[in-house]
Amino acid sequence: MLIIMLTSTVALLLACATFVFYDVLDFRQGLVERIGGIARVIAEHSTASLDFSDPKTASQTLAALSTEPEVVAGCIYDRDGHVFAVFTRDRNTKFVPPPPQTDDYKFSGGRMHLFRRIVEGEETIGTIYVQADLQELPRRLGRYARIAGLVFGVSLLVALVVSSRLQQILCAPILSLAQLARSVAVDKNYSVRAQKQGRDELGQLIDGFNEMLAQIQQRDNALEGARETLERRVDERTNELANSISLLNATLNSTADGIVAINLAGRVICHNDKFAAMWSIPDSLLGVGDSQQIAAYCALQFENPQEYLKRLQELLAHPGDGLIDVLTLRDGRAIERMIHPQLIEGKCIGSVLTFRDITERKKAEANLRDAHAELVQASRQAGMAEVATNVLHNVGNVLNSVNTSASIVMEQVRASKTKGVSRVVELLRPHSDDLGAFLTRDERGRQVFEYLKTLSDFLAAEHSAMLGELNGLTKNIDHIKQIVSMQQSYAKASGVEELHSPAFLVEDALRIHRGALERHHVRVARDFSKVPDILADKHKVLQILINLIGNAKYALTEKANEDRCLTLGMRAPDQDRVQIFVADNGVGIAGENLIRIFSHGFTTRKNGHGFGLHSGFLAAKEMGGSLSVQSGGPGQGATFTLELPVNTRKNHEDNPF
Amino acid sequence: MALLLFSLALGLSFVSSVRAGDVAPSEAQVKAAFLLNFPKYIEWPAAAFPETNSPILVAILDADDVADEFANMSEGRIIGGRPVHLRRITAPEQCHGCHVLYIGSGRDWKLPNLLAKLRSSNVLTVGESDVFLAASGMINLARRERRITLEVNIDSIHAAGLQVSSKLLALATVRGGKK
Repeated sequence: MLIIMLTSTVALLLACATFVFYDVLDFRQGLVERIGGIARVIAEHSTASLDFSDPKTASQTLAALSTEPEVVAGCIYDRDGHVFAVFTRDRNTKFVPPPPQTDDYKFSGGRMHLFRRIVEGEETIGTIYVQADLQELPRRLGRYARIAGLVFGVSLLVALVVSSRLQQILCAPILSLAQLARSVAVDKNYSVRAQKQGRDELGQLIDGFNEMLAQIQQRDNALEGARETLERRVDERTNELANSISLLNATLNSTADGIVAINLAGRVICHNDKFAAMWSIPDSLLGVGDSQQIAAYCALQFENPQEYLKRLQELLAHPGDGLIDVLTLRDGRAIERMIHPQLIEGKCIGSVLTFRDITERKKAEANLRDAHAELVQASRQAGMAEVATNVLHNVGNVLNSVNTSASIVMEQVRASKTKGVSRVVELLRPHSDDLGAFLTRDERGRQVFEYLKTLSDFLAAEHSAMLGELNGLTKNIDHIKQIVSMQQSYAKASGVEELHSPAFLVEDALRIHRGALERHHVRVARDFSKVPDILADKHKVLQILINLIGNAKYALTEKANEDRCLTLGMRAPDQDRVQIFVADNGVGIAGENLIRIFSHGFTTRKNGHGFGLHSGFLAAKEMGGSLSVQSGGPGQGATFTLELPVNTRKNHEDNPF
Repeated sequence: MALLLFSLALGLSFVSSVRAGDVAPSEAQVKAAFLLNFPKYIEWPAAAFPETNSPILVAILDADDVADEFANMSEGRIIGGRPVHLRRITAPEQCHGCHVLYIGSGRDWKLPNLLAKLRSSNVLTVGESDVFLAASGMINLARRERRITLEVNIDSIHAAGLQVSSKLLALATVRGGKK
């Protein structure tokens, strides 16, 4: 109510003020236009008066100003600025014309002063001045004030009546609506609705308010529902997460490895107990979770902590690739370290480090290596035993020959006709004085020459036969020496590498087995191509070849076939390698055995130990070569191929043990 | 008191200065000024000027003092787009081709004859004799109570084919016409 009245008052006052202000301006502008117009007409009609110096006519013209009630006085100046003609409304009024000016007007002292030039053609020949009184203006203002006051009063009265009526129509529903809104805000009860009373804007407002309430109620219900769903889902997720975490923790702690996950910022995300135990990390340090501090603590367990830290920083700075390496601690433990990048959608967010104590494994490996070395040694000794058997066998054979030769020689010596010489000497002794007569006359004497001749021939033949036997004896003894020295040299396993002709090596190996081969009627064939000498440990090569020939001999003796043939061959597939074949037409090898024939402990012989081929295989590898076998199957014979590099030393780096 | 004296002195000096400005104009000066202003109020037939900017020729006969003043005043004046040229003449015949002819006093007896010759020649005749209008002169500058007034014979002006502005007629004593 008060607002309505205040608004009306302000609006009315503004309107009145604007109206009065505009009227003042309008009045002044109108006065200027009116007086200016008259001045212009007077100026127009005063030119001739000025031209012909007729102030009287000019005064008459100027008197036209009296038609305007506001005009108090006026005058005309000539070309030189002298007053030419004067008009005053009241003759008693004292009028002093002001100095002439150019076209202009101004308001001052309640008067308007207006100047106009009197122009003829382009020439200014004088000036007219008019002074007007503005007393009319206050009168007009007073009149307006009375009218405005009247309008103001009536308007306020009407506004008072209308607003008090409007208040009943407008405010009551709005007040009830406000009351309702307040109750909704306080009680959060969105189910209440406002009562509609009309179809006007207020009715629309109430409709809008009710609709808003309905929507809020709907949203509130939906929100409540969503919140419940959300809570349920959060519970589910939390359970799943707890499940995952417990599973992760169980997994982490069930492994024998120490595991720690670090993010890119260097924070320890998670770790298992084994990790802490492995590095003896105190709980306080793990609680802080700074990977730098933990790494520094771990580094103290190394001989060179700085180097470990430096390396670790490099690895963590580039976690893109996984890595496995082995760390050796000061206390002798060997730790295998694995670093895996942790990826989310291909982007690296951290690293997972796994530590595994492999000290025991390392020890086992060392033990295995020792055992293997022992085994190799045993194999070599077994080979040596076999060789020794052969040697003894051969020596025995040779000794037979030696014995035979010695017996023959002994028999021959025992049955020697050297006694005949003694008999001749006995025969001649009595005739020593007349030896010539005896030899020529005596019957027996004449037969001495024939006897000596025969004896000489006989002795020569005997000498020749004994010489032959002694020669063979010497040879056999040399052979024994060779066999023994070979056995000695083989047993030495000197490891000295020298240039050897493969053919000589083959012959040496053959020689060991010669007796046995002859005994079993094995024919030996040779198929030697020209091959370069090889730089190798003679005894290793011999060990292999002796073993191969021994096997071949065995395979041949098992066979009923009378045609027992052992073929030894060699060729050079290229200038760096030499292949030596040991082929027999013996019992052959079943296909399933071809694969495992080189394995340790495999044998087909009743009294075999299964080391021979295995150690030969290893020895060939040791020298950078290979040992392989081919066989058509049982009864088809077998061919073993020993391939050696011309320079075995080159490949020693590959030695696995 | 001092202020009153000061303003009184100021008022006196103003009045005296106005008076001082009023002095000077001699009769010849006034006549010359009038003569110079007449073309503003007179309209000649188009045939009177060869071109639109041809000069207005003013001939003065038997009035050297007026001619002297006129020569000073007309220097550089342009009226209606035309310059004003003075021609001093000693015989009426010399006014041929002029637009204004001023005839000084002293030839009153010859005036009727002289003016009759100019009747049909588009020349505005100005004189200073009581008998000038009677001798069919056009404008006479008459002396009345120390002022120079104008007397116009409208019939003579119309007869010469000229038009005179009503503004001029309003100042003048008019003879002839429809009255």
